[in-house]
Amino acid sequence: MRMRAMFTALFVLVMIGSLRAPSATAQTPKAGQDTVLKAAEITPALFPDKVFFRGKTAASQLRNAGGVKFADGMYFLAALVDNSGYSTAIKEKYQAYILSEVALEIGGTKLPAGAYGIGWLKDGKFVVMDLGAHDIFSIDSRHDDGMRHAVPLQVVAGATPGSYLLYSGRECVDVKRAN
Amino acid sequence: MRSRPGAIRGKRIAPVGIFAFSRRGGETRALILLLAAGALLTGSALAQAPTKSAEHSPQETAAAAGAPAKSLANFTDIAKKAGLTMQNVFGGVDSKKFIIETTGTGVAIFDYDNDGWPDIFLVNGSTLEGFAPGKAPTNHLYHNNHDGTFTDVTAQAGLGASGWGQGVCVGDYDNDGWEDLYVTYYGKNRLYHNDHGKFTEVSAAAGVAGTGKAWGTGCAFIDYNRDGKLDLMVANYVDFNPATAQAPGSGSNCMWKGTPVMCGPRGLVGSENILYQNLGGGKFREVTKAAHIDKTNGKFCFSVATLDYDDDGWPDMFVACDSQPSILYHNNQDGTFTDQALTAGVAFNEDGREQAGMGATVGEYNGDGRPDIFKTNFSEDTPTLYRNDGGGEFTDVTRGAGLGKHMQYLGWGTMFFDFDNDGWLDIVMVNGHVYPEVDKFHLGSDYDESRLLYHNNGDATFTEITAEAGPGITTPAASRGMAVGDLWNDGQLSIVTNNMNQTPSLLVNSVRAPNHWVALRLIGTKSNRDGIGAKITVHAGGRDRVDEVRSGSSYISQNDLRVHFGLGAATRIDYVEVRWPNGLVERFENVPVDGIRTLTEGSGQPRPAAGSK
Repeated sequence: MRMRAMFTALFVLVMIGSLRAPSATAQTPKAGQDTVLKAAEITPALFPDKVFFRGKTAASQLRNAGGVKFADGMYFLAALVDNSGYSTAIKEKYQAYILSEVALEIGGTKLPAGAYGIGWLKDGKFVVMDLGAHDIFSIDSRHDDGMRHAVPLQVVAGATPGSYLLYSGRECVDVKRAN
Repeated sequence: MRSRPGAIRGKRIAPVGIFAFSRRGGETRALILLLAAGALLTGSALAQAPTKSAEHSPQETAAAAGAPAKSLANFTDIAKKAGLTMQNVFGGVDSKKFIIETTGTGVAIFDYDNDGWPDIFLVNGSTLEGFAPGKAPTNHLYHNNHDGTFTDVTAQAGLGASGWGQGVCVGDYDNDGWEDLYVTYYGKNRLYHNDHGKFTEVSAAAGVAGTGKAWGTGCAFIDYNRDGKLDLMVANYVDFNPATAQAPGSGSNCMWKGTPVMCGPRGLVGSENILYQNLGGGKFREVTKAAHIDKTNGKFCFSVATLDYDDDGWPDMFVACDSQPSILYHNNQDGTFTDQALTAGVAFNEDGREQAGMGATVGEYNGDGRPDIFKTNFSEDTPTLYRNDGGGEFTDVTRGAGLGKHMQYLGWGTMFFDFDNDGWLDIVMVNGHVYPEVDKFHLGSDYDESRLLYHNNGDATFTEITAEAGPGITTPAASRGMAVGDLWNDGQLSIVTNNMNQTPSLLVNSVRAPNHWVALRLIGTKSNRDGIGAKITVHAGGRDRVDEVRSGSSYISQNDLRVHFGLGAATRIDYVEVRWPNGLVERFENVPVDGIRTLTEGSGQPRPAAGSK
C-alpha cells in the first residue's frame, strides 16, 4: 500500500510538472546553443543608448533589457525606452524597442528582421509598430500571475527548445526565431 | 542655558520611577517626587520624560475648530499660532526652470537641548538667482516652549546656515549624550556637533562634507558594523550643473503631457550614494566602494530608511529612488552590503514597473513582527506597500491593503504612525506636484495637493479617512519633508511638514482616543548611545508590537527618536524586550503605560539572543 501511494504521488507530481505553464523561472533548454541575455549582458555596443522612433530619439533603458543570442551568433534584443517626450497617444503604445537580426515569430505572427517599437496595451493586447508608429500587428498578451517578482522587461526561455517569452512586468508574449 | 519647567540641566531625567511634572512650581515638586520614586525604585531602568499639563494642551486648543462627531482624527494646522513661521524658499514659485528647484526640504523632530521636549528643525533652500550677502534664507531651529508654542533659536544655536539645503538626519555620533545633526545640500553637506545645545559645523574636519559637487538628499545614521559608533549613509540624486542644464522643453525628458517642463531626472546622470564609517574621535572615512554601496541598479535616490528586514541583528537600508529601482542594501555582516531589492521584491511594484520613489517609511503594520515598507511615488501611480513575508522576501500588497485608490497625488513625506493609539500603525502621506505648470495647463493634477490619512483596520487593510481627518489633512499644500513626533509628551502624535515656498505646517490632532500608549527612549551604553538600530518588542494585551529606533525615513527627514507604541485597551505592559545594536537582548518588566520611558542598556534582564546571528 505504501509503495502504491508513493507511485501515485510521484505520478501526480510528474503530471503537475508537465502541465505547468512556462514561466519566468523556466530553465534554458538544453537543445541548441542559443543564449538568453540578461540586462547586464546587453551593453551599448549591442544596443544603442538612444533609439529613433516617430521623428525623435529617446533613451533606451539598458538596465531593463533582454534578448537572445542565437546559435549562429545572430541577435534578438529588446529594451524599454524613456517615452516621456512623446504624446500620450504614442506613449500608450510605444514602451520598448526591439532589434532583431533574424525574422521572428511573435505569438505566431511573422515579423521580418529589423527595428520596431512595441508595447503592451491596457486591453491585454501586444502591439508591434514600425518606426513611423504605424501598427504592424497586435496579438493577445498573456498575464503571468505565477511570477514571484516581476521586473520591467526580460526575456526568458520557454517550455520548448528555441521558444522564448518576452515579458513586460507580468505580461508576456511568445517569441521564436522564424523558419 | 535657561532653566525650564521639567528640565534637568545637562542630562535628561535620571533613572527614576513614575511622576509627572506640573507647569507651575514644577521643579521643587518634581524633585520631591523624583526622590521618593527613586527611593522606591532604586536600580530601575525606567525613567519618564516630562509631560504636558492637560489644561494647556495644544490638542485642546485645536479642538476649538470642532472635530466632526465620531471622527477618528481632527488634525488642525497650528504652525503660525505656535510660532513656526519660517518662509521656505525653494526655487521659482510659478515656474521651475531646473530640477534643482523642485525637490524641497526636510524636517527633523529632535530634542537638541536635552530638556525632554522635542524641538523642530526645518531645512531651507535657495533660488537660482541667489541672494545678497546676509539676505539668504537659512535653516531654522525652533525650541519647544512646552506650552504649545515654539521659539526660534536658530542664531543662538549656531544653525543659521544658508544654501540649497535638502535633507536632515539626527544621531549622537560621538556618544556624548547630545543629538548631532547632519544636513544635506546641493553642495557641501554639513555635520553639526551639538555641545549642550550649541552647534558647531564640523563636516570638513570629520570628513563628511562630500565633494561639494554632489546633490545630497536623504541621510541616516546607522551603526552598520555594530562597533557602537554611528556611521552615516547619504543618498545622492543627480549630477546637476546649472551651467549646462537644458531648458524646459528642450528635449524628450523635458516635456510632460505635451507641456514644456524642467528636465529630468531621466536624461540626467545619476549620482552614487555614499557611506561613511565612523572611526571615532570625530573622524569618518568614506567606505562607499569598500562597502559595495555603489554596486546597485538604483540611481536618483532620495530617502534612506534603516531596517533589519531579515531579522539577523544587522541593520539594512531601504533607499527610495526616483524613476529607478529602489535599493535594499542587505548588510553582509562583514562591512559590505548587497543590493537585494530585486530578489526581495522591493525594487519594482507588483507589475514589475519602476516607480518614481520619493519617501519611505518602515513599520510593522500587520502584527506579524516583521518590518514592512511603504513608499510614496510620482503622480499617475499609487504609493506602494511592501509586506515583509519573512525569509528576506516582500510582496507588493498595495491594492489589497486599500492603498491603491489614488493615482493623482505626487507623494513625498510619509510615516507609519499610530495616531489613535489603537495598537495598529496608520499611514500619513503628504503630497504636492513638481510642475507648477499642472495648474496653468490643467494637466490632471494640482500643484498643491491634499494630504492623505489611512487608518489601519487591524486586519492588514487600511481605510482612507482623509475627508474626516480635519483641515490639517485636507487643506492642499505642496509639501515635501515631513516628520512625526509626540511634541508635548502626552501620547498624541503630531505632524510637521516643510512646504514649498510656504510656511511650514504643524498638524495636531484634537481627537484623543481612549487608548493607552508608551514611548521608549533608548540609551545605549555599549551600543551607540541613541540605540539606533535597536529592535523593540512591546508585549501587551496578548500581542507583540515591534519597531526599531531609526534615523532618517519619511522624505529626507528625521522623526522623534523615541519609539511610540499604541497599546489599545491594554492597561499594562507585560514586558518590553530590546535587542540592542550590539546584539544584547534584554527584557524590561514593570514598564508603566501612558508615558515616555527611558530604557538603558545593561539594566534589563538579559535574554537569549534568539534570531540574531
